[in-house]
Amino acid sequence: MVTLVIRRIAVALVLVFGLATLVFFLSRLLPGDPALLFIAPSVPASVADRLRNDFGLSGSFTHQYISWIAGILHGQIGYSFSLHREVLGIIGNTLPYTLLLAGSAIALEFVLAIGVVYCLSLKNSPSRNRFFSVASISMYTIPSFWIAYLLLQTFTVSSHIFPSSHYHSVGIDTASWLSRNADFLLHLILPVCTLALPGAAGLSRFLKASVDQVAGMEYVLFARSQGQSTTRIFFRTILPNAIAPLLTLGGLELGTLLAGALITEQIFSLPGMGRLTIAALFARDYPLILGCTMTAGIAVIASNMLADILHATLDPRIRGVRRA
Amino acid sequence: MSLYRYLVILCAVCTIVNGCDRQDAAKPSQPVVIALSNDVDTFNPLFASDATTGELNDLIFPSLVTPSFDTASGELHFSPSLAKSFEFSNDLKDITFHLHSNVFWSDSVPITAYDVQTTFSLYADPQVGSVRQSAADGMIKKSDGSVDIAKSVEVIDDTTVVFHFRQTYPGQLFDAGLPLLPAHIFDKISRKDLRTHESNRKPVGAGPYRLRSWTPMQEIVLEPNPLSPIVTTAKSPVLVFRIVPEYRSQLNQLKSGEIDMLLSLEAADAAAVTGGSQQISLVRIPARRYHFIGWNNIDQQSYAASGGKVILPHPLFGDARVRRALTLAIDRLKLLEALLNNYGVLAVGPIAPFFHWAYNDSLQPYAYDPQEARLQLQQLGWKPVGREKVLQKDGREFSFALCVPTGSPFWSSVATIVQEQLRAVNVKATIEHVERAVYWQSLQEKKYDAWIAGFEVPLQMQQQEFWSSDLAKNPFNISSYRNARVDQLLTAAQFSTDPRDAGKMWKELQSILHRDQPFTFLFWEDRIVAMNSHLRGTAINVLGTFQSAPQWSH
Repeated sequence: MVTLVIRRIAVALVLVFGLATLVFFLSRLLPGDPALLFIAPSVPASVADRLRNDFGLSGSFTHQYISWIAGILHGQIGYSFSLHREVLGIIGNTLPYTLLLAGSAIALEFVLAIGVVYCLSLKNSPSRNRFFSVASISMYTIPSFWIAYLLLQTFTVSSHIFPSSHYHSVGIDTASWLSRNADFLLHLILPVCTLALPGAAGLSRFLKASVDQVAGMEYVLFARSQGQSTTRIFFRTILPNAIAPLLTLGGLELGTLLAGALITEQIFSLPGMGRLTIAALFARDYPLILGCTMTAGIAVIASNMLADILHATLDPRIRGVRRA
Repeated sequence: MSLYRYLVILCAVCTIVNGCDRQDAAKPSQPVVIALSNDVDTFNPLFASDATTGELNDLIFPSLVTPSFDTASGELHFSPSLAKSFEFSNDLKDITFHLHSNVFWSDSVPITAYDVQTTFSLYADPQVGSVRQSAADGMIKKSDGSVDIAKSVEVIDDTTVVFHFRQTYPGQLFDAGLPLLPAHIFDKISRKDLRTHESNRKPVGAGPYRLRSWTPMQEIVLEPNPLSPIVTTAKSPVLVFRIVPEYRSQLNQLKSGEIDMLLSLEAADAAAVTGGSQQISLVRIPARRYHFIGWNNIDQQSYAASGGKVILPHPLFGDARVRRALTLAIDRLKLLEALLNNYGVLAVGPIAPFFHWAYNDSLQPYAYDPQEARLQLQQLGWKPVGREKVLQKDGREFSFALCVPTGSPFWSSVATIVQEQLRAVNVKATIEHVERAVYWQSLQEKKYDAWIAGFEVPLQMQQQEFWSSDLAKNPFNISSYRNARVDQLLTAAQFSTDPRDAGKMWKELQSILHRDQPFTFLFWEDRIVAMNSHLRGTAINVLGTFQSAPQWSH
């Protein structure tokens, strides 16, 4: 297992480095001069030149690239042109929000998918299965912005049950610990549902197929013959064997969410990596673009690696194959 | 317990928690919540480039004088603010400001005349690169062309400062009224580090408000500044600016009562928003923004190839008669009705109608007349050719790219309608969407044939940079318009301190631009501010939204 993790980390480092190099040169090819975005047109050209120099944009691309790599080796990703702060600090402030949103959404996706498939396994009815098939594919194909607006219309505009944006209410900072946390959870519900519903629909389809396959195995029949309850058989015998392939899917999904759920962040006015990346692109803020891209790359690679490790932990055959 | 019961209990808890919030919302001490589309760039007026950032900075930083707008004449007037009084010299070239004594910055350090001098040395310093550097253009200069700050802003004593200008001009008080910065902080910062310094996030001001918190991409909270020498803030509300990037989300939050104010309501929503259960009122602010179709007056290829030395007329739009014919072909009244629900007026030039002293109300907008447009183009030698009947002259087809920035559905709609209307007079326009940053840079580099854009006009009359023939010095003359008489008028009007004389010049300038149509001026767009009706004291006008904020109440 340790060898597997070390090998994966080594590959991940090479991938992130390659990705960063690619993005570095691609971002430099974007049309538009970052220096001109931050000064008035009437300001003398010498000021723009000085600003370019301060931004590290003087010299050839190769020279800029070498300086940038040297900076990274010294632990400095760069300084944001548009937000006037260290990129590392900006990402450090933003990433926890994304981790929270993505983590909650993935957790809800698994809970919903397992719950739905469990309900279906209680009674094997063709009509139920048909309904599930249609409903899940419909939910999976609805765009997330549409789900967001449906939820907002229903639970905010019409009924005022949930707040529609941000992570906290105005003036809640002076309230009690309990109120602050209840308020925070209320704010989390709609964006997490927006992210999780389509993903849960997709996961449940995969899980259903996997559960149906496992349900026909002899060890499940043996468990039934022992008179174990349906619930016990589902959670103790079927699910551990059926869920392993879903971890890979979950890993991919988590990686995508960590790179930024732009539409959800935008609609619910939440800070996050998606909004940060788009703002950086529009501002031609090269250091921030690179920082966001590297974070997204690391997130995708790390979540896939996590899924592989979990898979290997749950399925001894994987470890066996690696050793062989 | 069944799942259904759990859901009912969850909904009940949510309703109770939210209900508590709503009861609080009725309390008079409740903060005023305002939605902003974008986060603020900086809390430093040296670098505050967009209008909202500028307005928030104005709440935090004090000024010597405060402007007011006379709606009858359309003139700006100034009254003392941090200065308790001011007077002009006999030749009007000098202004002496007498500051209040015993006034303090929000960190309790006294404000003195030296703060004023330091501030203007920062505005004037090219190394700082302030967006307001042009405010120092009228000051006394050294032989090398740099501003002589000791001679321009003379400190007499702690409470007296004199501004000396090279010559008189109407904007002297406007320029002297820029936000002030604390010298005891900015003296310690290297000028090249100012743009990125920590102080830009933790401002020390003396305006009616001070920064309580700033959570990037989330919210900005301003609280009344008890040390402010400018206004009494004992009853002023806390202002919470929430960053809500999506317009539809802003609208939903206004309807649900989560925000109190939406700064720019789309005209299409004006009727619907006032019909809901939430009591919402609208304030219509006279237009400061006009939209236009820009025509490049010069041949951009020869201009670029010669490094700006060769200036030839544009093969399509170089002739003012062609540009006038194109204006006749565009039904601007229909555009105004369809896209702005008549929240605006047709434009005849670049001077806003509320500047009554300078606006030429004798000019009538060109009427929509496609027949006349066709006739005029034919008289100029443009004849329909081929199956598509696109106009041609000397083998050149009348076809061009009409550029629009991405992420602007309003201008995209204008482009689509204009494209159809031009097709009716056999002119072929192809719509090209260009990424926003590239679009504005390319406009300044004069790369496009035609484009759709808009300008927000400043309150201090300023047209030099848009119409002066010196193209290299004025990148905002994006249509590359050149006219010797306009240059004379611009120079004379900008130094005329008599509004009646200046008014005549501005009116003549509008007549010339109306005749020459360097742009097809479309319309002025009114701004609609939507707010909950329980807000009181919101005297919002063309000067800005938040000037009266200290007097707001629920």
